[in-house]
Amino acid sequence: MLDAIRKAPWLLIILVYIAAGPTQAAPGDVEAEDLLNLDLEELMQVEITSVSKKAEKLFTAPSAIFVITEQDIRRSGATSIPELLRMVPGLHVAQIDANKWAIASRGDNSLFANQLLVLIDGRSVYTPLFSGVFWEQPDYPLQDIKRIEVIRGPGASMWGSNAVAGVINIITKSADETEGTLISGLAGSEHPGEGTIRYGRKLGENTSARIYADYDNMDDSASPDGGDVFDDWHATRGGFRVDHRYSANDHLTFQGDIFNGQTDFAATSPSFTPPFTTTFSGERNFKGGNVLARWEHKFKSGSESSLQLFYDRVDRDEIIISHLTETYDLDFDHRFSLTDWNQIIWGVGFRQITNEGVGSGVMLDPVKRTLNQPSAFIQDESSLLDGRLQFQAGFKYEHSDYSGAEFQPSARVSYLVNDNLSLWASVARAVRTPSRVNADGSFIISVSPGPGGMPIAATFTGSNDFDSEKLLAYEAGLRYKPAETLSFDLSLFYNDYDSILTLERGAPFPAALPVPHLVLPLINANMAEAKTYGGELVIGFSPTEWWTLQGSYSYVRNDVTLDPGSTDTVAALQETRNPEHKATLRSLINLPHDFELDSMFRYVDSIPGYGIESYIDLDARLGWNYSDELEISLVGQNLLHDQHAEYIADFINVLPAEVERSFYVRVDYTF
Amino acid sequence: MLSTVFVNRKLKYFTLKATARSVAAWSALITFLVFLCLFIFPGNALADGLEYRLKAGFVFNFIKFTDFKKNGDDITVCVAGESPLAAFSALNGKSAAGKKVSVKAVNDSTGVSGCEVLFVALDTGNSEGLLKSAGNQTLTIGESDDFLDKGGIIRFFVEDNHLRFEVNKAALDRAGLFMSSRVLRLARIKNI
Repeated sequence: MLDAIRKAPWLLIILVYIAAGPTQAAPGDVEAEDLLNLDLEELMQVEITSVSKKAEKLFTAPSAIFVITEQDIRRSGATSIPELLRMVPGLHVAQIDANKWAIASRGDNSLFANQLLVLIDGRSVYTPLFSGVFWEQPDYPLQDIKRIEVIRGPGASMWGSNAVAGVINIITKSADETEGTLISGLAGSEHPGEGTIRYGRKLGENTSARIYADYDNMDDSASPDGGDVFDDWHATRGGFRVDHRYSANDHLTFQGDIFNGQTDFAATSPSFTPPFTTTFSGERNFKGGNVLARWEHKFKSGSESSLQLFYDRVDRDEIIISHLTETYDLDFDHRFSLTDWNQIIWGVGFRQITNEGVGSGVMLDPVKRTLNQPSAFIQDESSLLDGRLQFQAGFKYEHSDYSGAEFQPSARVSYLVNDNLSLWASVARAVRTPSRVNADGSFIISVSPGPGGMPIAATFTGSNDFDSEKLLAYEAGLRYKPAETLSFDLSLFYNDYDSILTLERGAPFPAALPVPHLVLPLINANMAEAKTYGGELVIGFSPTEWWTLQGSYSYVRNDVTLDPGSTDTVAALQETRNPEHKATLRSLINLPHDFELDSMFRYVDSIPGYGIESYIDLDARLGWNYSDELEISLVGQNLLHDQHAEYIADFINVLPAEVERSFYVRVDYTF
Repeated sequence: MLSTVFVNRKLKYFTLKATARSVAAWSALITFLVFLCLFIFPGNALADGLEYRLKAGFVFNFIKFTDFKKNGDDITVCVAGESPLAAFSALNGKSAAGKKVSVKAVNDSTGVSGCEVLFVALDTGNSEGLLKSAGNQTLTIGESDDFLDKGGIIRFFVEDNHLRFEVNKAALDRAGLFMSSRVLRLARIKNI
C-alpha cells in the first residue's frame, strides 16, 4: 500500500474519501448551513419546489451560460482568476508559463487570444494593443468576488465588439457584504508567500466601504529538462469599494484599484547574425489603476436605469515594447416594460481609448493613437404563453475608428417545455474590431539567410486596410432536470467566421539598419474564413446532501479555408492549436466536523500544433472550517504529474515552460 | 503525509507516467470507489423542510441588516411553533455581522421577553397573544395572511414558487428598529 502511495500520491486523496466517509454528517444541517451562506437576492431566486441554488432563470436562459458561485470560488483551491476558469466548459485555459495564460472560448486559443470580452464590475480589462487580456494583470481578492458569469458564444448585441466567442463577467461583492476584517495568507511550493487583507465597515446607516491590499507571488515554472524558467513574478494590489444606498431605489457605487507587478521574462528573439536568434531576458513591469462610479436607480413605474463612468490606466513595460493605455468610458442603460409581457432595454455609451507605445521589438506607427468609440444598443424581451416562451431580439451599433460602423444583431428564443425541460436557440452576429497591432504595428517574426548571404526578415506588418473579423453564430441547447439531484445542460454551436486575419506576403524591400537586410512584409489582411463547431455538456449530480458532483465535456473543431490568392501560412495553424476534447469532473464533499474535500479532474486533449500531449490532471483541496472565523485549506494542484506542458506562446518565443505539481496551505481569518 | 509527498517530490522518488493504460485503470478504480461510497453512505432523502430552511436563511440576513438599537451583541431568535424548529436550529451559534445568534423555542406568551427576533409559525395557536407580549424592540416575523394586520413587522409569502416578504414599515418604525435599505428594497412595503 505504501508503495502504491509513493507511486501515486493522489491515492491518498482517494483513501481519505473512503476513510473519512461522512458517516456522521447531518445532512439537514449541511443543507441549512448552505442556505445561511446565501444573501437575500440569492435566497429570493431559490425555487421552493427545488433545491437548486442557482437562479431559476438560468434554466431558461437563451444562451450557453455557466456561473461560478461564491462557493465554487471558495472550494476551488484556485489562487487566481485564470485558475478559477479551468472549471468552465467550453473554455480552454492553458498556462504558458508562470505569468502567461492563454484563455479562449470555443477554439482559436493563443497567448494573444482576442475574441473574449472580460469585464470586472462592468469595466472591460482587455488591452487595445492586441484586443486580448494580460491575464496576470486583472486579479482581485477571490474572497471578495461574488460570482463569475461566463457566456460562451457571442454577446456582442449587448456588450459590443470583441464579445465574439464569449463574455466573462466578474462581479465583486457589494461593500455591505464585506463588513469586517479578512486576513488571508497562503504559502506553498509554487507560492513563496501571498496574502490579502481586507477591512470593511459601515460608514453610515446606508453606506458601507471596504479597502483591501493583496500580494501575489509565483515561483518560476520548470523547463522541460527540469531546470527553472526565468518567469517568476509578483504583484501588489490595493483597492476600495463604497456602496451607498441613498434610498430603497437608489444605489451608488464608487470603487477603484491600483496595482504594480513585475515578472521575469526570458525569450529568444530574431537576430540578423547566425544562428539568427538570440536569447534575452529582463523584467517586465506592469502598473496602473482604475476608478469607477455607478448609479442604479429604480423608477416608481418599476423601470430601472444605470449610469456608469470609469477611468482605467495601464502602464506596461514588456521589454519589447512599453505602452500606456488610458480609457474613459461612460455608459447608460434603461430597462422598462411596455406591457406585462414585454420589456425593452436600451443604452448608449461612449469610450475613449488612448494608447501610446514605444518599443525595440514591436513598433507602432503612429506611436500614439486616440480611439473614440460611440455605441448604442436596444433589446426587446418578450415573454409569452405564461412566460414559457421567451423571445429576445436586439442589436448594438458601435463605431470603431479602424473599421467604421459595426452593426451586431442577435435573436434568441427559449421555450420551457415543462418544469424539467427547456430548449433554446439563437443566431447572432459579432465582430472582432482591429487591434492596435493589426492596424499600426510591426515586428520581426523570424530572420533567415537569403540569397547572397543577405538576411531576410519576415515582418508582421499592420495595415489600416485590415478590417474587422466577422462571425455569424448559430447556437442551440437544452436543459433537462429529471430529478432534484440531477441536471443536464447541453449546448451546440456552429460558428461561421468570415474575413479572419491572414498575413499576406508583400513585396520585399531592402533596409540598411542595423545591418543591410531584406524586409519581407507579412501584411495583415482578411483573406480567410473559418467554420468552428462543437458543443458542451454539463451534468450536475448531487447524490446526497453532502456531495455534489459536476462533470463537463467540451468539443470544438476548427476548419480554416484561405481565400483564393492568399499567400498566408499562419491562419490555418489555429486548426491544430486547440484541444478538440476537454472534460472535467468536479466533486465537492462536506465531511463531518466541518471538513470539506473538493477535487477536480481535468482532461485536455493533445494540441498537435505545439506537440503537446493529452493529459489528465487533478487539483484537490482539504478545507477545515474550524470556526465561523477561521478556515484552513490544504491544496494540491496539478497532482498527477511532476511537470508537464500546457501551451506555447505564438509570435513571442518565450522559453518553453511546464506547469509543476504544487501544494500550498491557506489560512483565512475573518472577524 | 504531505511532507512525505514533498520529500518524495524533491528526491524524484516516483515518476508517475500517465500512460493511457494506467490512467484508464485509475479512472476505473475511482469510478468504482465513488459508487462504493454511494452505496455505503446513502444520503437522507431531501427533507421537505426547504421552505423553513430558506426562511431561516432570510431571517439570518434580516439580523445582519437590522440595527436592534441595543447594548451587547447577542441576538435571541425565538421560534413559536413546532415545524420550523429543526430548520431554525441551524442559526444557533452563528454570528451575523458580529452578532451572536442563539435560538430558543417559545410556546406561550411568557417566554417571549428578551427576544430580539420572534418567528411565529403557522402552526402556532396564540399568535395574537405572542405579538402582544413581544417587547417593543422585537422584530416580529410571521407567515399567516393577516400577520401584518395583527401588528407583525415582516410576513413571508410565496409567489411563483419563490419566497418573498413584505415589511410593515410603520410597525418597524414603531418598534424603533432600523433596517437597511438593502433589505427594504427587496421587500413589498406596507404601512399599516
